[in-house]
Amino acid sequence: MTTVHLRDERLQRIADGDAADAPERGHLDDCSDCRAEVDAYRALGEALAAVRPTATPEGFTATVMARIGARERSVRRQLVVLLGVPVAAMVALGAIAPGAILLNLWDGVRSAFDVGRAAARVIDLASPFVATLGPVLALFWAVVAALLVLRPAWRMR
Amino acid sequence: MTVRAPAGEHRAPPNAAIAAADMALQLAARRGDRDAFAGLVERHSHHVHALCSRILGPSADAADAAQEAFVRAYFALDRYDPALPFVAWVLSIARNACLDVLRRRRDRKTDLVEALALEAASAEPDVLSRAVDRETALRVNRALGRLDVRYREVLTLYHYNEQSYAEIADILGVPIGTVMTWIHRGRRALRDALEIEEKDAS
Repeated sequence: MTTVHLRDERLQRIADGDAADAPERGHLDDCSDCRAEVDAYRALGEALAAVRPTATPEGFTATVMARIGARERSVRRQLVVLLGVPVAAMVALGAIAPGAILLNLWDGVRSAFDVGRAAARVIDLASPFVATLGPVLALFWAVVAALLVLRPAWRMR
Repeated sequence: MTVRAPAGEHRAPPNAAIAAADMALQLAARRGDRDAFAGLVERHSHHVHALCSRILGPSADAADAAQEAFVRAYFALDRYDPALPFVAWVLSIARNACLDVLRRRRDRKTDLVEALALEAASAEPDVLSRAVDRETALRVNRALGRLDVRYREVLTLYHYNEQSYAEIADILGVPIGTVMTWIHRGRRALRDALEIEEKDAS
């Protein structure tokens, strides 16, 4: 008569700690082959739990923290390049425009002593300056949006 | 005889004190406390590095992938879902970092199995229990190096990292049934590989 052994999957699960049912327990009591298989899988599990491929390198945590710091600095540099240059350009424009308006206004007053013409000239000259406010505002919101997106990567103490 | 861990589907959730400490550190790290994050790295580096070493072989690549996993975790803390234990979350990130390295290695057409066997054979295993001697540890490492990467992953996550079937399924992004099948086939394949190791030795 051929002996029907427990399936390999069941032997492994029993080795893991699964409770054997009554027929399985009966078979295990009588079958040394299946008991040996359960013991072999149990020993295999213990070996896998007890052996680490190699020890964790010295200074592991310090290296991780240094890499985090380096990545934050890199993100800050990118922000400076991406946002700093246009902001500086806008600030320069903002500083030059009022000066140009005042100079031209003075020129208008001096040449004509005509208040009406001077007022018209102010409006004429101020309109490009007002027009620059649009891009400045757009840039401001771009900075806000970028900061919101990059916030996780730009975590500061 | 050591006390057996319960089977995967009944495996108890991680020790409540460990989970609570992880949660406190994780919340502090989220507020920008670097020391808290360093504490998390210190607590879990050995598990994450072990998984990377099993996938990539005990190499500089493994240490690099494990460190990269923690760096990625730091910058993604805002997206961490506490439903998964912190270590399981970092393990899933580490696994992806390892797969990136494997893809690069395949691009370089490295013979992965041969490279792993060589690295495993040359590395000194870290034996954590007196129940296993150094020779057995070496044979286990070499035999694992012969297995398919998916089997190395699940066997390490289940036996060494003590993750449950459900957590492994989350880490690998596959159904629980697949995890159980891979663990079963992996252990069978490992026993076959150990027999080959024994024959080679004799």
